[in-house]
Amino acid sequence: MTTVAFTPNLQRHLDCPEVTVSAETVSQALDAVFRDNPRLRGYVVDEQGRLRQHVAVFVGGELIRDRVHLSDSVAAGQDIFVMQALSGG
Amino acid sequence: MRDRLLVGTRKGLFVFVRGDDLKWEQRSASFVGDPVTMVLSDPRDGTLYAALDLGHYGPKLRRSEDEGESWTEVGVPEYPKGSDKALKMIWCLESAGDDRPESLWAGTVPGGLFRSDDRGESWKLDVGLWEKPEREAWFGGGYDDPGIHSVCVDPNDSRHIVLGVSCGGVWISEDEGASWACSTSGMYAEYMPPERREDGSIQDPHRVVQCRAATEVLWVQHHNGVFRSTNKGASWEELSPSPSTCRKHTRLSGGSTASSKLVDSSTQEANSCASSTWRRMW
Repeated sequence: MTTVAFTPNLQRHLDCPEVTVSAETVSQALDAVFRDNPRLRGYVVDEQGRLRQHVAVFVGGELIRDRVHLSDSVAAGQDIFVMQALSGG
Repeated sequence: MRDRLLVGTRKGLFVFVRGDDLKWEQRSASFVGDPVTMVLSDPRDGTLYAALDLGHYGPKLRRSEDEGESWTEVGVPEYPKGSDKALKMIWCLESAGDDRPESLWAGTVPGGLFRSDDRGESWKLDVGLWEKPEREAWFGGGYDDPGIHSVCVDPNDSRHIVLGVSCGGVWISEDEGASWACSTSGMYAEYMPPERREDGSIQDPHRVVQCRAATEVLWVQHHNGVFRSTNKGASWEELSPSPSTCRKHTRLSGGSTASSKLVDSSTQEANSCASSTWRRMW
């Protein structure tokens, strides 16, 4: 199982508690979260499913590489963090 | 309510009211710290709509039915699946006419026109405009992408709509958005090569407003001047001398109210529906 956690900064706009899901990729993990919290989707990805430019996703402490399809693998025991990027300083 | 100001800023939405003593006082502040790209006070039912551009989390739309005391998140326009386009900003919000009480229009960056028939809960792309081949010639003017900043719905005929696109000209629909034609006859673009200066889809209107008292009259603050139409946008004449000739980024206001004058906010000069010249107001 994988824990998906969101930056506290997002709590300003909507409720997004930490969620535990079963997934093999980042895409699967986030889709599982969005199924129960559909409004959250538009805050993390755009309408084409691409990660928003100023959102960063870490898997097991590493920044993901595929920001378009979110195909990065998630190994058992690895956690996912969705953060706001520090773009712009 | 004429004694209320809604001020959308890059740091929030601020509402001011003016009392009997004619002094403005701040009534409320919403979305403090967040950019507010457009605010609509729907004249039909008093509902407020605020479009936000949350830097990290994208464009959002909020609706208030208690004059801004509380806000509910509603839907945002979405570009077709599989397109390379995604919503960057809601630049324009307008009610779609007294006879369509649930309906709204939204102009967006990049260059989309959307309609909601459920008070913003969901939105549909205006396909008739999206599929015009001329749209490919649009380009950004100020932003990286073209955008629709003005939607003028004829108060006497909700099917007649005039759009301003920067940069993409002035577009008119007479069938509520099903079909569109670019209408810029009389405009010119001094920033283009001579052989292109009259091309419709490269004109850069900065703002289009329609007179509510004489709906056949529209004004356009264009990149290189002010143009007026007295035939619902079918043709345009340059107002000369234009106060904005030496102030290319002057903002025009006043033409979409019951007043039949267009006011240049930087020079305090007004143009009336019936005149082709400007008159100092103060």
